[in-house]
Amino acid sequence: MNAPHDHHKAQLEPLRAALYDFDHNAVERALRDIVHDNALIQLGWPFETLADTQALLERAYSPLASAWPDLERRDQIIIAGSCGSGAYWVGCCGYYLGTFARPWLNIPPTQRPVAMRYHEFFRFVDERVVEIQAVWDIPEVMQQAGVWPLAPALGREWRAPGPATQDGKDATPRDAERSAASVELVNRMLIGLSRFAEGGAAAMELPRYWHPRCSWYGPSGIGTARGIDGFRMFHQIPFLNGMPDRVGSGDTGHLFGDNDYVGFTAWPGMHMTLSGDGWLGVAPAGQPITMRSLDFWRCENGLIRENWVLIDLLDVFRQLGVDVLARMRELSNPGLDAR
Amino acid sequence: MPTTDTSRAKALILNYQTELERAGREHRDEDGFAEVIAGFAHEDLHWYGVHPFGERHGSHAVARAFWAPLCGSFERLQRRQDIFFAGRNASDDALWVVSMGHLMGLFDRPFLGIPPTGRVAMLRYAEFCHVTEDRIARASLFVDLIGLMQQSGLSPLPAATGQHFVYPGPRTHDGLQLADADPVESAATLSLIDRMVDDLSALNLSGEDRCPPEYLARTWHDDMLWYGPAGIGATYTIERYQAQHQYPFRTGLTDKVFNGHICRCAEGNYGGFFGWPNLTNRAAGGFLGLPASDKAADMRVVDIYRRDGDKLAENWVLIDLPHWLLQQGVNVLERSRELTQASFE
Repeated sequence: MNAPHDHHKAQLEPLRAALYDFDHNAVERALRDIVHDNALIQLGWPFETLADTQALLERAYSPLASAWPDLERRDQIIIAGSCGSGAYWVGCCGYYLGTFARPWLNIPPTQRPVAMRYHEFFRFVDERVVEIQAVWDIPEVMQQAGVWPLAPALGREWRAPGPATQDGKDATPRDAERSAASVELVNRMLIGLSRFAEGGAAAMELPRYWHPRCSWYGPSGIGTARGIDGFRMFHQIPFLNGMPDRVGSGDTGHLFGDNDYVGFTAWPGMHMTLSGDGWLGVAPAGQPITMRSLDFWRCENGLIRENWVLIDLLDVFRQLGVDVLARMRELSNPGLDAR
Repeated sequence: MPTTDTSRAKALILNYQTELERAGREHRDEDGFAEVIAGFAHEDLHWYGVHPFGERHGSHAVARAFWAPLCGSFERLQRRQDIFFAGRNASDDALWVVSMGHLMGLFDRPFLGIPPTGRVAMLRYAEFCHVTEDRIARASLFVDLIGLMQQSGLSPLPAATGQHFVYPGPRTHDGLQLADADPVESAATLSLIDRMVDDLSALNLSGEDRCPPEYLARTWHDDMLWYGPAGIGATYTIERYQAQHQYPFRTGLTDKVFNGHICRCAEGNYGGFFGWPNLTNRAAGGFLGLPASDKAADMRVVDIYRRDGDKLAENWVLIDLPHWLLQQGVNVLERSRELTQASFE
């Protein structure tokens, strides 16, 4: 039963190795070997759906590697499992690291170390990756360059750590029962969240699912929150105030477990209306939007202890009519080129 | 046609300012600026510029050291003058014209290695010109380079005890004294400045670093505003001046020697001085948030005052801090270069 999952993890190893010591040819080879010709490759805004592995390489990886010449990929969590629909997924959470030597996406270089979190999910069919859903935390790079052009985060902005237990890449054989229990916990928690609209905060029963010392590692622009109160204060209350009608796109989402870890990916995974004040300092104008939110959870003794969340905020702002990269360019290069 | 010496000297300097600004807008080269300066200065012009410009002789050297590079970096430079007056130096009767305010422009290209912002920059300045025979014989120019660095996002010094911002001109908005002022008022201002300097010199001699506020109240207005250089900042009221500048300055510096001024003059309610250097002292630790030094260092200072009745109400101060720090082995301009131009290329 676990054989396909461990095998899928192993199948990604050549790609991960090629990205660790980024080497253009090795990455090209590894992508070709593992990714199906007709795979659906989705990377957050501004990359969006990429036609094939060559496009992934040329539009995303090559520019990154030329801006960060010593590019290195560091995985902190690697999990595999199958979701209710039977699809097989591998999820990777970690960060790209390098020396920021040249501009990337017009973000000005700092000549100093730079890091960017990623959440990347790979779906397997018959030994091949047929779908990729991935978000890179580009706002994290803007912040390190001092050119994040939008409102400051309510939470703490930092380089989100790996799991407290340091076992995100543990080779312990996947236990089906334990994995199912973790999925069950997260699933019940998610159902609890959906009761907010009718029953308010109490109906979500957060303490039933969340450890009192939980950490919530949100995307740059929102930041990290600590404890249930911190999570409520710095993320959930503003989020629900702004978008009280948010609905998870349950049928298109993929939730799977691997021992104490659970992953979730969807493209998009939520739809909602920005109708209230409070979220990211954005004035609500009743815009309907969707959200790509890619999650990793770590469970501990029947409670959620850690949660890594990346939301494609640049895609959210694009839907709200704000081109974050364009505003960033105005901030970092105010008309000097025009003359 | 102006008739008095002071009004002729003021007209000369105002024309000089206009022509310099025009040369900047016309993107004149070094020779172009030298030509403008030569039109207003004696051939053996002696120019005192703060670090890193230094002392220069002749129009061409001044153009090369300061005006051509500044106007090359600051697009559409404007002189925004807040105080302008002329007076005779107390000790030798030399006629000086004093100008103070900001040099403003679009900071479009690096200046002294300070990275440009593409935005408005305000470089605070004070300029003293000694006029003989209708030409400039000597001139000093102080600019607040640390203030410019801060506008470029650099923090070459630790947090300041006061508050630094783009300082306003006089509260009374009468700082541009284009007409000659009543000599009785001018004499009263100069005499008040003299008494204040004498009071401070007495503290240097006695070694009293924490004088009571009453001592300052002899010459300072209760509502005194002190606009210090970036790195120190501004303070308001006698008590806060003492807490935020005077005590840190006096207790953080030792072996203080007053060397006199090259020019000290006044007109109407305004007066001021500069020295080259005014002071010599040694860092005892704490001043500017920096550690002690075993090296005595010279301090070049400009003070411009506004008198209100029989008290000094406002005081704009520039100190050549980069020069003072360099003598102790700290090169703030070089460090900023390292900070902004780190490269592995």
